[in-house]
Amino acid sequence: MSSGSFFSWAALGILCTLLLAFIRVCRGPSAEDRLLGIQSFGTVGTAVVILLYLVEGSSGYLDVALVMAMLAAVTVITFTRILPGAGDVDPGEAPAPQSEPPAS
Amino acid sequence: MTTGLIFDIVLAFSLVVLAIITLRQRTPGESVVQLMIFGLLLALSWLRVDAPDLALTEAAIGSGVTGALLLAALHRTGFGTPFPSAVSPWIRYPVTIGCALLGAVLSLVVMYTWDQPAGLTDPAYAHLEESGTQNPVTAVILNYRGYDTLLEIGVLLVAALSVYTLSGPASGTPVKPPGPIFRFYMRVMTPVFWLVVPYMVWVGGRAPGGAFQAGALLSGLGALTLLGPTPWPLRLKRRVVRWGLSLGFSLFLVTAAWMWQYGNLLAYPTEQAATWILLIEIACTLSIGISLTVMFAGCAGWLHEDPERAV
Amino acid sequence: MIVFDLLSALFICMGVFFFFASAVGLLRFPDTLCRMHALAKADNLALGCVILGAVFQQTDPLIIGKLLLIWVVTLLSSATGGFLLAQRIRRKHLAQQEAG
Repeated sequence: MSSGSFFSWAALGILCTLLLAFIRVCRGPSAEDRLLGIQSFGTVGTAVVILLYLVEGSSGYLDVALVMAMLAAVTVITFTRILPGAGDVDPGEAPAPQSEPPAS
Repeated sequence: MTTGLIFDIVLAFSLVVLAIITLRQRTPGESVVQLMIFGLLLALSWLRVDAPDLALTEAAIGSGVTGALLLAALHRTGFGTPFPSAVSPWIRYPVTIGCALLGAVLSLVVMYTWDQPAGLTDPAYAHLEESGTQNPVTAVILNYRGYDTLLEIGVLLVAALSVYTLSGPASGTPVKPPGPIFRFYMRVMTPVFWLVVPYMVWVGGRAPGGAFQAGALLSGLGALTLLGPTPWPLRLKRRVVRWGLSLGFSLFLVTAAWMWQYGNLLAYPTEQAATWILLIEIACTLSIGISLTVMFAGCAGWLHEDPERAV
Repeated sequence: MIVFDLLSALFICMGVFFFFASAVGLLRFPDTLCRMHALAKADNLALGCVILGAVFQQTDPLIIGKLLLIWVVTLLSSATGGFLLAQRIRRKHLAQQEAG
């Protein structure tokens, strides 16, 4: 088995992992489950890009992997710190005041 | 059948299935999450067709910043609220069939023209030394088709201005101060971002990279900074923000006007081309970064009158 | 060199196995916080194995440096994202317990 073919098989295996994680994104009963799926996609996607680089890549492929790694946390951090939910308040505090949405 | 082909078939199949599933969700939150995954699979597809520049842009903008933008826009209704109203089937079915037909036609076009000689690749490569850069994609974006990029930056500026106009008084949920873990993360990642962004601009002259990708990365940093209160010297003043927004477009226009003396708008003289391209790329990176950050702040409801996060 | 190729193959196989394990964990664990275990541990270990396998294939030190930078950045991002997500889930559970 040539090296390119081995890396392709590995990339295919990890792609199937992506699809399995996608089932969790679809099915996950709560929003946090779906965000778990997104977080997983960031890491797994970086691995697939690195394997594609080993198959037949230029140095640009590694830049793609670097960008994906750096921006992996932005989505999860946005979700955790902005979206309302029972998780925004420390258990001892009063809930944060919500301003009225402007009349549209 | 090589393994690469199996990989491509699985990828293409999952793209179509994912697109269908994304459109059939009942809540915007789920659709946003699946759109992000779609962006990631699309980035992988661009890599498989040998287009790392597109993959870089897709990874940075499509699955990174846009995902955060759309999630922030859900801050008022929450993640799980269903769509407000259903579109009537009289609209849904014709649009679906029309889009499917369009997709089929495009696929047939690609299949039938696959073996034909690539259209303008040879002239593009032939003039590469005169274009001022060694990356053919950068040459196309900033030299051969400079008008397109000029108008794209203009569109981005108009979009940022629209977000300013349409966002009402500050309505974002007040965010509690970041804990030690997020502070540590920002302390380590901010210098990394500031190192990788100029690297991306610089490497765009030889390899995949350039202003759009670097700008999207910069806006990722902007979004992360806005998500946790930062010390005062790092908070941009409004004047700086507004200058930064218009910098890319203005510099492009100034360049076009300056080139008028040589006959054509945006026709760089050969010996100055590299310098102009670098200047325009730096200005556009700052503009794109600030525009996308402003859009993120607008979606999160932080524009206007929020002293903590005044942008 | 054949040793490096074998090490590469070994680490990448381990990486694929751990990714598969994390996907199975993500699907089969009963609770959100349990699924976080699969994500935070197995995923990062698998990426580390894949990157190690890739490092053994390279000779250019800059490329090796870039690969290790990707790994460090992913570790940081996973740790921070995972912590914030787990904190939110825990507080949601606490709020539900107080309410119900």
